[in-house]
Amino acid sequence: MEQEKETRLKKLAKDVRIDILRICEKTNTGHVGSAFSVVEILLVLYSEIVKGRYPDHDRDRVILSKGHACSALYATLTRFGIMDESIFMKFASNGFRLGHHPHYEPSIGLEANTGSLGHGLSIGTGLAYAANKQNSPARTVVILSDGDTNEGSTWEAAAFAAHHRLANLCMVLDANKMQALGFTRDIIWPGEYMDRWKSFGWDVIAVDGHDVNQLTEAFSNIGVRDKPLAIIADTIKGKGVSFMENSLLWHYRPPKGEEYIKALEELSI
Amino acid sequence: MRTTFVNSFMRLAECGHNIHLLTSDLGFKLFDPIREKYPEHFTNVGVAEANMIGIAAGMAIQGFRVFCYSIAPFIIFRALDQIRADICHMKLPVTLLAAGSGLHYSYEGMTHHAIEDIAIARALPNMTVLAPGDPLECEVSVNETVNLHGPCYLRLGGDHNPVVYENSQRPKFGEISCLQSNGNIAIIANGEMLLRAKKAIELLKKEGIICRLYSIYTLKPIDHITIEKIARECSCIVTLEEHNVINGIGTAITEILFSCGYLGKFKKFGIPDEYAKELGDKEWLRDHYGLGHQKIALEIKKLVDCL
Repeated sequence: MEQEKETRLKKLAKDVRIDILRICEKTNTGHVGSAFSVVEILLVLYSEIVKGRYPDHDRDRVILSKGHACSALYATLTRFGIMDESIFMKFASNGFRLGHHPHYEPSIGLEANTGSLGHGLSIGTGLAYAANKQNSPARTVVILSDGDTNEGSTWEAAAFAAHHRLANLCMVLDANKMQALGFTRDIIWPGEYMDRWKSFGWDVIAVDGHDVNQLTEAFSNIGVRDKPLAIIADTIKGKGVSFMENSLLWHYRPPKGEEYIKALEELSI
Repeated sequence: MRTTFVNSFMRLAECGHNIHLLTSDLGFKLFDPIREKYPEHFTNVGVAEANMIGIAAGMAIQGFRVFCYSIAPFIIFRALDQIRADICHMKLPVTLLAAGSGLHYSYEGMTHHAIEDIAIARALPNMTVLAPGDPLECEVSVNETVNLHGPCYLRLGGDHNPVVYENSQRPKFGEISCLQSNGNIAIIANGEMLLRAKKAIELLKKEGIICRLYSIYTLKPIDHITIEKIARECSCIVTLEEHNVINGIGTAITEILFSCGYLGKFKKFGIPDEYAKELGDKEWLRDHYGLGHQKIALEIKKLVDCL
């Protein structure tokens, strides 16, 4: 990737984290840590990978299966002009439709309901399977969390996608290695993610999930081989704010007071 | 009725409808005609009901009208979270084909019975709920489901169901059908109980008791107008269903009768609030729960004698 583009994306990542922090502070919303870990994945997708826009039937679609990180999705969609800023600013306000988990509204970039883990990959698999049947060039990218991989339905979808060789499907695992009650390895040992997806018949690439170059290179492999693509993105929960990184507390805690100010300072450097 | 579905699906495919059938590895031999003639309209997702609903949602977003087949308990209980979040809230055109509802899979045991499905399906916002009682109602249900803008739960009985409608009468989607209109005792039935209701009415007729027969196969949205009309015209109303007496169609009808001020006799027949402890064949189980036509006739006679 050219230096200029890389610099722009890194700057954008900071801006999006600030957007997330601000909106979560304003609305007393949690899941900041989960949102921060997925920022570069979303930015690279919308900047470099996703083609077409609603209502184009053949557009690429992104499904955030880890719906609890939706503040990152909303902020990214707003930065790319897919969601109007006036909509983003009404996030989590009384009488408005944008809540802590996305509701299906394709015109503003929300391609499916998510929030109950283990749904996203099945829906994405259905989209990819249908696109193949329609000879549509549309590709589907589904972003999973570590918690998503606890769910049996995720593996049902993984098996189906591999069996039908859905090369137009990409799963990116935002592997921040934490979930609701602690470290994934202490809750349900996930095995080696690479081996697991490979054994299901997926093409697998491992990347640093905060490295925009590695992500861009990995996503460019969608459709290259005759099988679905799994990208295991090694990420840090709470990435970008020292006291939020790898902290379970920030799976829940809305940023407030001094913590908010300190976080804002760190992100603004 | 399953065969009726297959025939109706084939006709819709032939007409060029953008439909697709998913099964979670059930329907042995049943779908062979579709697989042979329209293989591109058929996918077996494997024994993975939750995934089947998610895939159906994705395909529906992309423009397909999707039919998902399994036996009733597996499709609605196993995949309920996907049903509510992926298809009901998103109002996607997905029809759930719930085969062998009620006690149909008799000896297979409680894992294969579905006595709570209507209660759950009716409580899901945006869901249309249908329980046809004969092949004609089944055909209309399948044909109409492609015109719906949201999801549908289609409760299918078994196979070899006789036609209950007579002469040239045909079911109308969304409306209760009056199949026999004499007398002021109304029997309202759905699904496989429709035939039993008809047989019970024949027995009662021999005793000089004349009953009306109504078929309610569109359970949601419910035909308030006809129920209120029945309430005005009849002094005794009976509901019959192969479902838990709690929150089935009997309960739904009670709510309407109460709100319109009905003061006559009322009785709902259904399965008591319990899972089958003793097993038997279909007819034995139905009779065990008082849903055989002779027991129904006897109970209605008792009710009428108190009028």
